[in-house]
Amino acid sequence: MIFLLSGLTTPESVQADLEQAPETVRDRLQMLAGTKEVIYSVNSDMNLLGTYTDESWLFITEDKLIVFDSGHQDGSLVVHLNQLTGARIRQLYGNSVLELRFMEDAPADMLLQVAQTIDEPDAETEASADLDDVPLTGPSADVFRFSRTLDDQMDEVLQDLTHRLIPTAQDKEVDWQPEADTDLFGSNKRKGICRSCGRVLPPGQSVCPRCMDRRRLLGRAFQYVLPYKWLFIGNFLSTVMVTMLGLVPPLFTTVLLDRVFPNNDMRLLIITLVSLAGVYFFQSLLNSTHIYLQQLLGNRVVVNLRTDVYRHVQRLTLKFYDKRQTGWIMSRVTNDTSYLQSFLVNGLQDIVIQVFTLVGIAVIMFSINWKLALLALLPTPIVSYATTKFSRRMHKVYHRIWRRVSNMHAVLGDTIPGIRVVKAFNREDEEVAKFVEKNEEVFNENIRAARVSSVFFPAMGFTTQLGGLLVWGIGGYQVIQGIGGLSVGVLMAFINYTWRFYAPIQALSRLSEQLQGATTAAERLFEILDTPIEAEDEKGTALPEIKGHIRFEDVSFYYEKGDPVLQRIDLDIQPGEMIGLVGSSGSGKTTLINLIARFYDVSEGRILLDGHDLRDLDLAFLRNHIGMVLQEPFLFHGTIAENIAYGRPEAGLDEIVEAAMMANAHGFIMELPDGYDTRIGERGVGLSGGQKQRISIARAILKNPRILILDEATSAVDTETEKLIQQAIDRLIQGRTTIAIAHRLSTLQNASRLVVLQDGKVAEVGTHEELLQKEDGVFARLVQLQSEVARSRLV
Amino acid sequence: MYRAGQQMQLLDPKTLKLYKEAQKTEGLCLMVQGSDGTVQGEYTDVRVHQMFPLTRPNELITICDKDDNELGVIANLAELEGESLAVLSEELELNYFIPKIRKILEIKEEFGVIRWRVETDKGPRSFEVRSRHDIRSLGGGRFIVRDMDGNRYDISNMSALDAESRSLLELEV
Repeated sequence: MIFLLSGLTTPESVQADLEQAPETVRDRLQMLAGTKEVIYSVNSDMNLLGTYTDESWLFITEDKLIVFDSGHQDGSLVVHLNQLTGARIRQLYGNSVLELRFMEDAPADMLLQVAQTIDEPDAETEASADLDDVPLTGPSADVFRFSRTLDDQMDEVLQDLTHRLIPTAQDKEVDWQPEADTDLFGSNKRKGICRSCGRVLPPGQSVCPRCMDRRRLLGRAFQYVLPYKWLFIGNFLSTVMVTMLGLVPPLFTTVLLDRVFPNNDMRLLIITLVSLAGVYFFQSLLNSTHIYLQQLLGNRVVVNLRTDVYRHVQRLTLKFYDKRQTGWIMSRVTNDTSYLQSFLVNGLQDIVIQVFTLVGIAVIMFSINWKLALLALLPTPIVSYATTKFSRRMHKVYHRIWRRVSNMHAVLGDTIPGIRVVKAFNREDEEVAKFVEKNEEVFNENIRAARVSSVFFPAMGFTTQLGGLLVWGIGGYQVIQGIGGLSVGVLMAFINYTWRFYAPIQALSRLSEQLQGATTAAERLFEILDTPIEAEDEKGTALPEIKGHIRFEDVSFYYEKGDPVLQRIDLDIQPGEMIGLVGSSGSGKTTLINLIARFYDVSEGRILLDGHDLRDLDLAFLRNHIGMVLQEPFLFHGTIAENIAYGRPEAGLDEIVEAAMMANAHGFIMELPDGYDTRIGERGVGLSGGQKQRISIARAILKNPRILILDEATSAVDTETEKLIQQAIDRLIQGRTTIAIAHRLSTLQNASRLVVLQDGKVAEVGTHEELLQKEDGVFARLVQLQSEVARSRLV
Repeated sequence: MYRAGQQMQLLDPKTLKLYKEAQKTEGLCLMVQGSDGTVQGEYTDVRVHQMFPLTRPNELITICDKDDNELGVIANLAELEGESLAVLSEELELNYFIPKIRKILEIKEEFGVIRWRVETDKGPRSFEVRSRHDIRSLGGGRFIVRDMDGNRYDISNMSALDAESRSLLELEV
């Protein structure tokens, strides 16, 4: 038997599924399918009775649909595809069924004919027999049942199946096509899958936690240091030399105690002191070099990293922003990069210093007296074990602190921009209470960390001090008894080194806090950097010019699987046409225009601009030709002129002024003392909503886009201003393809056509007059409703 | 007053004549001539406004009649000559009084108000600034300072100031 590739299913997967199938299944299949190729094979995880099993199978061959399921009589069902008029997947709670619709005139027995001729020669008894659970004699029947795990696979199958049915169905009466239901759970759901290990990613995350651990954060962060490798090497060398020089002075102590003082050698005293002064001088010199280079390197690296993160954040999809609070993202750019700086510069360097110190001291100590050295270093295992324990503990603690702090930030980021609402609803006290709660949580978490630290460090100090006392005791005994030729000078140097030995160990353990904080920060930063940006994979094409012909072909969209916002939209918008989008809120109007600007990608179907799929076009090119005027005009800090020229910073001053004139904005701008140089948001410059809106219209005019999107551009202003804005808009839409959303239906009178959306579907399309004449039309009802409201206001 | 929907009307500088009467009772006067030298319009008491008073003071200057109807726009001051240039410059100087700060003597924060003592091209001056937001950077080392009363002061180039002024300013911006 040949297994053919079809649709999105790979031949391997069909083959593999079939190979997994028990021999009995394969035998039966071969008997039923004959020589026809199996195009799809699906092994369900449950049967029609709702029991989990791996014995249910669905096969589609070129001409048949074959189901093995204990819910079917004799455990199998064979249907000729030409007996079917439709198929759909009915989404149920926690599972789904494949429902088939049979031809109206298909005799019930025909359905089972194939199965009968092969399995049961007695056709007549079969024909009258109703199946217990699935009545096949009706016009439709559930034939295959599966859990949501198989949704993707089955959607694919259904799409293909539907495709196969259509030619047959066309010349029959088609009353039942796969309807919305199939779209709800379309095959396009994008479960995040890790690219390297293939695991399903945690929801809302784009970084695989498993691969994240493996990816060595240190190494990756270090890549930011690489461009400055000479700086790094210079810094490194100076660090090592400072450390080495720091180990020299105790050796001079030995000379002083053992040779200078016993012999009253003045000359040697002076030589020793001068040499020591030289050592100290070079140490300071190198140290200042080291500090400067370290800062230079550290700041350079963090600036680059911050730029990288910010650049990436700018290019992230709106979906990314939908899921996250502003404060969270801002904290990534500022706090986490600083954390990482301390890690890369201070942390990394400190490790080097401490390790060199440790090794250097150990070498010196062992060369002086290895027995005493062993004794002195006795507490080392305890200290390092405790340190490891401690740092693991602290990692969690610091992560919790970070979480609490960002929760607190989130409250700020939420309420400060919404302060008017807070005040209007008299919720100040509650907001303060909310903040206090978060703030207290930060406090509690910090105290928790302090509690751990406050025990750990003194305990470690005590342990190492005991080690020092041990050396004093045993070394002192040796000196007094004259054992092993140990002199006072050597013992003093030894004690000195012992103290110095524990300093780095404690420092390393303290470092672990900082290091852990930084690693957490690095993880989060790289999570952002690893989140794919808009249109990352594609280098889209740019067209020489845009006419502005927009075509929706069977477009569906959903944010979350199972909750469609737009369903099967078919729409053809001619160049220069003005389309008014009408519908109650939540009907999908804004989503539709978001799709045109490609803020989101369609879930199914496609949108064509001048015959090109939007996804094939260069994103920057596309957006260059789209102008948007939104309900809430957003003006940036900067002058009015800068705001108007936002989409075309190179525009000449006269162009800016002309755009403002066309937008009916010039008048009020010239009344401001600084004219076009007026800075938005400056004290004393309070622009009204309507004025801001006209500036944003000027912005769109200056950009001169082929496609214009107006989202409730006039809804937030008074009638007088609306007139001014409407006038500006009328000038703006000249010669452009325009898609306008308006709540006040009267503002859409200039539209060449109106599209009425209802529950994410196109309910009506037509001119104002056409739609008004439609009795019981959605639009007619909306108009009536609005005029009633208007009338009641007048009364 | 600019009429809604009006287009920008650039005035041909050759056809313009700006002047002031000897008695100066009529304020700034404008005479528009046709190409053949005939008088096409005469306006008294006209007002001039800079569209970009801070960044491009010499470009795009609107002229309005005494009822504030916009008559037209002069693209660039430099296109004018003789008396027209002189009276317009004078008028603009009057309209837009922005002294240039030459030297900063003191910037001191007291009770939440920042007091500046400066020397400007118009003489010494001291003023209060409400907050650091009122010191606005225009880029290229240029700053416009706005005091509590809405007066403006221009620091044309920060790096051209003396070291002491600069170190005072650096703390504020």
